[in-house]
Amino acid sequence: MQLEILKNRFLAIVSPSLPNEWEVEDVLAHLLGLSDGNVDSLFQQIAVIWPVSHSLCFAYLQEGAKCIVLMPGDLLGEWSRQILGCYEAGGLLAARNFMADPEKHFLGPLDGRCGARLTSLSERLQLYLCGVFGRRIELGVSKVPTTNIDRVFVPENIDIFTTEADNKLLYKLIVSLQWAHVESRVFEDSLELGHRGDGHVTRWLNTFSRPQEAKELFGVLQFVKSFWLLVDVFPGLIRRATPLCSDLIEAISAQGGSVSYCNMLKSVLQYSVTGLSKSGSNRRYLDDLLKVVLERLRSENTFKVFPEFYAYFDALGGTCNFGGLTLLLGRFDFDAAAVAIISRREDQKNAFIALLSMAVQQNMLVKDVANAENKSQQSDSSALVLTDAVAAEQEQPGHEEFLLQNSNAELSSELKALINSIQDDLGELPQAYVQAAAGMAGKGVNDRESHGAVAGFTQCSVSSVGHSYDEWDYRRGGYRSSWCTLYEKTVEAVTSTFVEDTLLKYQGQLHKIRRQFEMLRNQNRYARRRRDGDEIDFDALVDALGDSKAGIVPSDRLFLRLLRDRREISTYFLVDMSYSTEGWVGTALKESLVLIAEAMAIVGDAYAIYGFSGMRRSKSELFTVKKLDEVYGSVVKQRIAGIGPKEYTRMGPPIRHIAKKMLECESRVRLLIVLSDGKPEDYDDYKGKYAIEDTRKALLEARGAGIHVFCITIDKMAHAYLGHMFGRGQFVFVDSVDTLPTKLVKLYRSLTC
Amino acid sequence: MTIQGFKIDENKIDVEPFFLPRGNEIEIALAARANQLPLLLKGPTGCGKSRFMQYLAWRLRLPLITVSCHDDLSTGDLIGRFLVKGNEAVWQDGPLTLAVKAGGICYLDEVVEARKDTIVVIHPLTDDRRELPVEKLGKIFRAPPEFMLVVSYNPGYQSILKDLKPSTRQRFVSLTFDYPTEEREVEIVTGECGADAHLSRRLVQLAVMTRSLKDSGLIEGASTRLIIQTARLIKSGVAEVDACRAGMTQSLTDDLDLLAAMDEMIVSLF
Repeated sequence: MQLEILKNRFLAIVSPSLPNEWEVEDVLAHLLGLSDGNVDSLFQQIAVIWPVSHSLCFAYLQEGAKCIVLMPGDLLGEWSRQILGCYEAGGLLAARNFMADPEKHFLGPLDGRCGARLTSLSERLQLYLCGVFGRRIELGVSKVPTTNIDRVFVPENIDIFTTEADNKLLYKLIVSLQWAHVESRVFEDSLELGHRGDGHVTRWLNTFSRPQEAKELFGVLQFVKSFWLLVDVFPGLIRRATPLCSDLIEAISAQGGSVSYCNMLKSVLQYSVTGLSKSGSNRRYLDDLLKVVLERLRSENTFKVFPEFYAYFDALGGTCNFGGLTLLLGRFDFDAAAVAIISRREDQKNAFIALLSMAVQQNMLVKDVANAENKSQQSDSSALVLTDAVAAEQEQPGHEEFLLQNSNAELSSELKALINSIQDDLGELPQAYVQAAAGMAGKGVNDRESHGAVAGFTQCSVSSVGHSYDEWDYRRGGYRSSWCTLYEKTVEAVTSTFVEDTLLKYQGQLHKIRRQFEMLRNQNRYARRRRDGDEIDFDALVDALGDSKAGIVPSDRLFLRLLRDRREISTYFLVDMSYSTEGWVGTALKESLVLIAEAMAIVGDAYAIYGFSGMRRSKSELFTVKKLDEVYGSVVKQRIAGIGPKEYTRMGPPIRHIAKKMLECESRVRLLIVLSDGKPEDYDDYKGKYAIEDTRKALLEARGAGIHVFCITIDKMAHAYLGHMFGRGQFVFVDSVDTLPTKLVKLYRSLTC
Repeated sequence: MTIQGFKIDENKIDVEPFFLPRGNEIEIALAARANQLPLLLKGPTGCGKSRFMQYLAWRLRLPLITVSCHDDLSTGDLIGRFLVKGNEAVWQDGPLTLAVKAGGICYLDEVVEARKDTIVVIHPLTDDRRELPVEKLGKIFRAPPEFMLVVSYNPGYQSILKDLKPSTRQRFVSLTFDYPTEEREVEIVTGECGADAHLSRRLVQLAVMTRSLKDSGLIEGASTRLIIQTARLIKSGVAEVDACRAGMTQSLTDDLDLLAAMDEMIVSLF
């Protein structure tokens, strides 16, 4: 087809939006060699792409001219749809990358040959990780898999194998291996090298004759150790993944002339994965002595075995291209892990000291401990001793039951779990921790957390401009008197379709929510033994007859009456309105409020909604969205729509203020649900441990006053401090913000059913 | 021994039930019994509370009368009532009165499910009076030294409405039950259903992994009871993976993501 004809056809399609003619000619020149049919097929999609982006349309024609011979014309429609999807998600560059390799990105996946993407797997993989680690672990993205013990990083996509199933399995094996590295305590062992700090392992590896190879070989040896751990723990996974590992090992290639070095590495890896050398020729590289060295990994740590292992390879010299096996070998970020371990140990120490000192105070042992502490300054005797009841009495290795000596008081489950965790980590509970707790216990008891401590909230003064509240300073072990001032404001109502849009968006879920909450409301029950009612209560009748025969005046309460139980629950929702909620988080919070308001309208529970933010201690702000006795009408809906990000997150004052409000309401059951997007933080020194401890204190004060408190935290990472701040089992963590609205409703239901 | 035609001895447990203590719960329970103090057992579902009661009853050679509480349980259901037989009114003891008269153990399972006004009836039995007033008979039954009252509940359901009133709670000696350590749980599963230690260990591993999902939306992880149930299915010839799904994970949740994640755990372990 001639260029002029092509140009005229193109301009007719894109008219009246006309581009530069020279630009059009440049692009259409690529189509000159194509058949009429192929050109027609390509031109059919111009009308779809041109209105979205002119540049994209030109790129489509250029790449399409090359691709049209690879794919049937009827697939062009789907191809262009996916191009537009890539463009909308990642811009022109992403769309160009997609078009550049149609075999990999389009035709392969159509035939079931494709890689696996983390985005499609992350939710499942995340839960799997939590289950495997036994605690919350976050998934992150990194080209080479690694971990810092709190997060596991994996590639964004894996396309090493031809089928999606194999690539998904590889993902699972990668995260399991990262768990095995942590479980084998390689990171803790690294701290014993005596070079703590930046690059401590690198410095150790530099002591070997060829540091680069030493680093590579260390990775191989640790892989062997971790793989064997997986063989023991996850035989199902290993059974399915072994063929994949074996293929990846066979694909390792020698670089330069280091064939012997490469073959020996392959033999070691094949032996550890399959139990034997795959190819007969490689068997000679794996002598019995090397096997003995490897077997030592089952009982010793990698750092101890490594020098001998390295010696085998040092003589050969060389290096390898590990190819896809790099994903399994991963990268060891010892520095980041060291920081995380040291921080975890410090947190555990502080939490232990705080909890134990509180336990001592609660058990009225303050005096004894203080005496003991005085004595300890004169002698080596311990101020406070924890006895391991189980281990002592039954001579069993378990260490579940700890008692405060001279008292039968059992420690809280949180403290026991912490002690077990410290013992697992350090091998023993350092006596210094116990002494520190004893010291802190002598600093005085804060009785605001005890039941009925309403006085704690009434101490605040209400000035004409604001409410003044004390703030807990953990460093001094006491309150900063009248430290913060809180102002109450009302969220400005804005006219918007937000509520209607949200109801439309969650139309499907709303039907289910309404049905579930109707069931809550309809906790109808037959009240027995009523003076009047709909039916005869035969049990009561039999009783009355029996009583009558026995000469007792029979009761006249002989009827059943259908009663609707009154749910005397008042719920306050306290919503974080700090600047960090801007965007998706803020929208999800507002959507959650709309859904919960719908659910509450059905169940009929009294509820209030407040937001909080502020800046510095002199300006903590509480925003009224809905008061407890206010009707959920157009004004409240407009206020919900008007919720927007403000300033910082000083959580203590609003919690104290809301708790005070809640104590004034007459409900039998009071529930406070705090929705926040993470760590409390203000512009001044209200951050870090200080902010966490004050928030924790405010929550404990509320609980002490008989308020049920539950927290929902929305964050990308579950931080270790959450359990300490909110209390074990008193919070849920939401990492996928789109699930928040439905999760909040579900949570409210389970809390109050 | 027969009370009103009720053969109380039938509630005695003759064969030692399999129970592995995880701490000093037996010593504490025996001490409570010696001091005539009531017991409160709390812990997640399927962790061995009821089994502990069976063991305690066997150990003390006392009849065990169990009442599963529900929100329609009336005072009469616990204490007793007059029934008409022929032309006569005959008093029928309720389980609580029966246990008091016979000097047995009355075990109120899931006590928080019962209405609070019903539970108040146990108060005079739980302090130093140790008596049960029966208004209709115009009698007060004094509990013999052998009588023991035990209640249990699961604090893990998160519902703020299901809780014991402090005035009830503060009458009891409390024993907290939790899932045993992995080693101990393997022993329990092996001892309970005769599964080999290797299978028990794998099943316990799976249960422990599900318990880690509690902060991620799973209300409660797999209990020891579910592990034993699964082990029994496997012993009956059901394939391991299928048994884990049917016997354990499917009973935990309907959430598809959680089920898929637990499925990944199953196929990794088996």
